[in-house]
Amino acid sequence: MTTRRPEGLTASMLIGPATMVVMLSLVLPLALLARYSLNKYDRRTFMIDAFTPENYLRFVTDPFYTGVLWTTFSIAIVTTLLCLLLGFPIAYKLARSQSRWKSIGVLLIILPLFIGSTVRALGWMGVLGRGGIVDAAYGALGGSGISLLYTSFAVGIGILSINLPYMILTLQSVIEGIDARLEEAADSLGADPTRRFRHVVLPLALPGIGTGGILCFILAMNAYATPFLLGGARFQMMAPMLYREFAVNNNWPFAAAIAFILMLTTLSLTAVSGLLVQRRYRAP
Amino acid sequence: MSATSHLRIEGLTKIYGSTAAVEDVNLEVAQGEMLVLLGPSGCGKTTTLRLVAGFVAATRGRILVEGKDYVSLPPYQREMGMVFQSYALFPHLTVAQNVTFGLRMRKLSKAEISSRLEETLEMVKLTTMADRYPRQLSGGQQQRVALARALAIRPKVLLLDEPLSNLDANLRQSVAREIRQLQRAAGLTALMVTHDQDEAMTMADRLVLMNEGRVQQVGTQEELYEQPLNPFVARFIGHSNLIAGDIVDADSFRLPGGGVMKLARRYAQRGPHTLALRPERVRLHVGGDAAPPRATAQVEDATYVGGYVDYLLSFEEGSSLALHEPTGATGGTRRAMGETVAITWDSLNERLFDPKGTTIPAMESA
Repeated sequence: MTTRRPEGLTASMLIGPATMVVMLSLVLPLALLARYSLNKYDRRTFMIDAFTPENYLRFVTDPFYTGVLWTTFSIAIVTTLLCLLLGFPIAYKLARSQSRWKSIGVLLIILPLFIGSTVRALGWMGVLGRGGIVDAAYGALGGSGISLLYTSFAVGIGILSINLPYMILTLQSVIEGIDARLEEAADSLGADPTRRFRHVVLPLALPGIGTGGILCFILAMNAYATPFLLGGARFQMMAPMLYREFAVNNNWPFAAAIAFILMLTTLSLTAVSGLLVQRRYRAP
Repeated sequence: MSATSHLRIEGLTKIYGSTAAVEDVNLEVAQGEMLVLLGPSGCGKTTTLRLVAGFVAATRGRILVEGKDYVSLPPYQREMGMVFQSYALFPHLTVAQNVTFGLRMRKLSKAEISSRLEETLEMVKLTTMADRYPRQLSGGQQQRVALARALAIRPKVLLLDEPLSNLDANLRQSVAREIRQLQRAAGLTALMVTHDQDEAMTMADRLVLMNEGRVQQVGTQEELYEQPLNPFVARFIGHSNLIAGDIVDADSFRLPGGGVMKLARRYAQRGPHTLALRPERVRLHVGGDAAPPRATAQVEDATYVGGYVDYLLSFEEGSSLALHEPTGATGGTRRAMGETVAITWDSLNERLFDPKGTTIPAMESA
């Protein structure tokens, strides 16, 4: 005969290991990072224990850094909106498709995810760079020497191509959850396609739009390889800058502060948009 | 009829790939009439309804309402009110918003919308539920919202797709009656689809029985039951026994094993035919019967089900026959299994179909 364990104990035993992993791998490094961000930088010893907000102040008072944050934010917003605009029709088509090609379509969307963002950025370099495909085509048409590399356009298109599959897959699953009969009902009640979309599909897809948007926004805010390779020194974004402060300049306290500013900006914007979506969608 | 028909379907055909889901359907529905499409699953009844609604594009044919051809119009220009099997209520809108959806799409004035909302909700007795969301309603209430939403636009034709199938069995009858009352009160021409025979019988002014994409028979309940045009109709409506055999003589029907039944009427045709007999229209032969029995059979199974005893009889040749004997006269006595019984039926209840499936007439009484 076995004695029965109290249920609470079993539950905490099951949750325990996972909680430990999260604590050790996420919370602890974050706490450490927070602590570093308040330290002082020194040329010789690199880091001096301190308790000062000067790293944060340096960031917010220097137009170069706030400029990079603003650039990062703009790129993230623009690419997310483009993902939404380009992704929705594809996601809708896929979700409503009953053809046997549907799974192939889904596979085609997933396929790029198998290739790392670095490799894909390199691919874009070959397309956009001097002597690349665009340049060659332009040359053949009589133009001379065009390089789109190291521009906001290059970074934008790079991030867009990486984030689009996430948006499409998120939207597709949400749209599949919208009963197609609802659209038929709207149809029979006299709603033309535009109004059917506005009054039925859009409001019901809003949670998916929120999730997909947040996902793409976070990915874009934290993009590293793409802005590093396609933006170069001329077009700076937060993640590559953070890396440079950390690895090249060895300024760990400032790098930690940048990391926190990036994280907090992303989190607060995500929270705000999440709340907006929720309020829009709220129904008792 | 054709002059007064409100909805008229001509040669309606839908072909998917190489198979016809609906083939050459011709129907006429009078103003205010409820026509019910009935048939087994995959018979094309739902496709027909969806063709009329415009959700499916027709391969051929015309759909005329008040003489105007709607077949090439998109659904949102057809003004047909549809009630879906799953109700398809908008989950993000309240009852009132659901009901007024079609009115808002038509850009009616605020005053008109609110007066129609009130009127429609009153009709379906949901006035107190106006601000609820669909998921806060019971199945029956959701059904009424779906109906109200379709009625609010004052459609030219009301389309009902299995409207009762998602309801509890004990709710069905009252909802069926309610739908009928509303439809009659509004004088609406209605087309309904169901696979349930009882439901069809209860709701319909006339029935359309479909099979394999084709209309098998159109008629009233009595016509379909008493005068089925082919074996499929006879079997589907009321589960007729279909017995294969040969007419060997004007009134003799020989079973494959050699046994011979005496037919109630005389026929000119000879050769292989199908005899259709309804279980409740065949009797056990009793001593008091004037005429001799038409056949003898063995009791294979006898089940007492209250109102009648459900017999399964078999002839020596292996053909079998279901027979329902009312318990009122016998007081519920059951024949023993294996017992040999004599059976008989009246001339009105006997139907014979030739191999092509068409019913053959009897000769003038001999």
